[in-house]
Amino acid sequence: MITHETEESPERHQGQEPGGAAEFGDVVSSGLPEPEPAVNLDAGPDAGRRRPRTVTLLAGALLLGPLLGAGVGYSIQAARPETPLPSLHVAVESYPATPLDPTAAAEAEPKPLAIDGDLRKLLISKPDGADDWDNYGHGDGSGWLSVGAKAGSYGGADRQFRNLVHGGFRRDAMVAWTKGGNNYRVELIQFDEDHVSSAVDWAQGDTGSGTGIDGTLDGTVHGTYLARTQQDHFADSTTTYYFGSATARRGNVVMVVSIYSQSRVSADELKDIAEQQWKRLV
Amino acid sequence: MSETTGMTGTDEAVTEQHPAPAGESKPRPKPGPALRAGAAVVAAALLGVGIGVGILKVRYRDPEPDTAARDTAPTAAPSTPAGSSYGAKSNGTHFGSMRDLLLPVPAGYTLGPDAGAYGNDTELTEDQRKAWVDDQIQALPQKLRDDVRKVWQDVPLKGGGVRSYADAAGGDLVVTIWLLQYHQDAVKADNAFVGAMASDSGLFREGPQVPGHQEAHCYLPSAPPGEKLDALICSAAVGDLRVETRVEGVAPLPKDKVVTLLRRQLDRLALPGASA
Repeated sequence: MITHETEESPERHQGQEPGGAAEFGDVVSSGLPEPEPAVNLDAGPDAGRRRPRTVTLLAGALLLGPLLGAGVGYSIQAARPETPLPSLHVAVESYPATPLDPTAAAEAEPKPLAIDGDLRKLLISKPDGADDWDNYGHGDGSGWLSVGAKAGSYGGADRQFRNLVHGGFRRDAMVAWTKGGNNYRVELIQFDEDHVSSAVDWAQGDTGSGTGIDGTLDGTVHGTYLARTQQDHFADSTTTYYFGSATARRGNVVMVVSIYSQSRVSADELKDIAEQQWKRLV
Repeated sequence: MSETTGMTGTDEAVTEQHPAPAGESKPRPKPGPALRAGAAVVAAALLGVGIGVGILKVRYRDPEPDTAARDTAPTAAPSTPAGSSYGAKSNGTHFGSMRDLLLPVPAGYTLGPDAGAYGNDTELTEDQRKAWVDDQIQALPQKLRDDVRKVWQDVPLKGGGVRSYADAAGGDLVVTIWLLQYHQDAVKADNAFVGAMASDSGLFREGPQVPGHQEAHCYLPSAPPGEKLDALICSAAVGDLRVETRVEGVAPLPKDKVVTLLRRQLDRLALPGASA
């Protein structure tokens, strides 16, 4: 009993109050000195056990905090109403019940560059007070120049004919008039879609060369005009004339304005006719 | 001349033509006679249509109700070869698309230039047929226009097609074939009129014959020697189709090629049972 008490008491007192322990130690010093070291030895492990408890507490708090947080968060989120996800279905393509009206659709489409239909309707008309001119007899009065009529209006007609055929010549719409002793001709020469290069060549070449008043046509891309200041003479005679011409190209259509005059061709008049015709092409 | 820069081959010739107004290809003071006569031939052919139809109207219309004849024609023609989408019936009518009836572009040719507003490979729509009649009328003298317009209303153009053929290798020949479908009697009268006009007027040279097709008449405008281009017109009647062929090309025209082309076209349109 006593030993138990003494053994137990030092344990408590030593841990709690060193002063008290000294008193008790005096009381039992004679009887049992041995257990003291044993108690002291036990006290070491006892103190070690206590520190982990704090650590455990802290660690527990650390674990518990997130767990609690997660739990509270979860419960809050779980209490909220569901937000529906967007559907995975793609809208099924729908088709109009009635067939498309082709004319309306064509109207809505951007207009193609291609110039088609009756080219004569794109030509300017002869001015008031002017008389029809037969274009030196080339053409049949229909408003069209056939490939033969076109080639025949040039020297070297046979070579010209082959050039036109190989060059994809489609057609040539022409209006010609005579006024004040001068002759005027406006042509729209069209080549195949596959032979736009022929149109480019014509547009570049048909103004010809020579000295005179020249320049570019306003509003056109590569349009040029030339009013010669020196006279030319007809192929088959010594009759002379002044020549002026203007060319411009739109796609595969070449616009050619030609003036044959007894006096020098007015560059302003030439440009004016060319401008009127160009406006009808764009 | 100055713009021969960088041009070679065929382009070279093109450039030479371009200074045309400047130098070598000056406009001529006088009309090219061949071409002017060519225009006359065309005008004559067109006039033939109008006047031929006019004759028909006066002579045939009352005794022969053409509508009745035409209405019964398709049903009363059992001789039609089955399975073909185009062809001719023994009563002279043709059926099928004009583009099928036209000779396909043979080897050695390509589609050629457009026939004015009508393209180079076309079956005329109703609107285009009306425009065609208007064009023909425009080519006539003023005082004939109203009469001819009225005649075309009475004897309508039922079908029309055009295709042009260009010599692919040399590029020196262009053939344009028109098929015009209207009343058989008028077709026949027109063809006879063109034949008479061409042979009797003295304006034209006799053209080549088409073997096996006596109904075809070919004529050339009178051209002086040395003219570099030439023209030729042929007219033929096959039942309710008038075949009008216009040829332009480098002189001298390769008549054998033209005749071959025309013969193949007429063979294609031949009526069943007709002697070829």
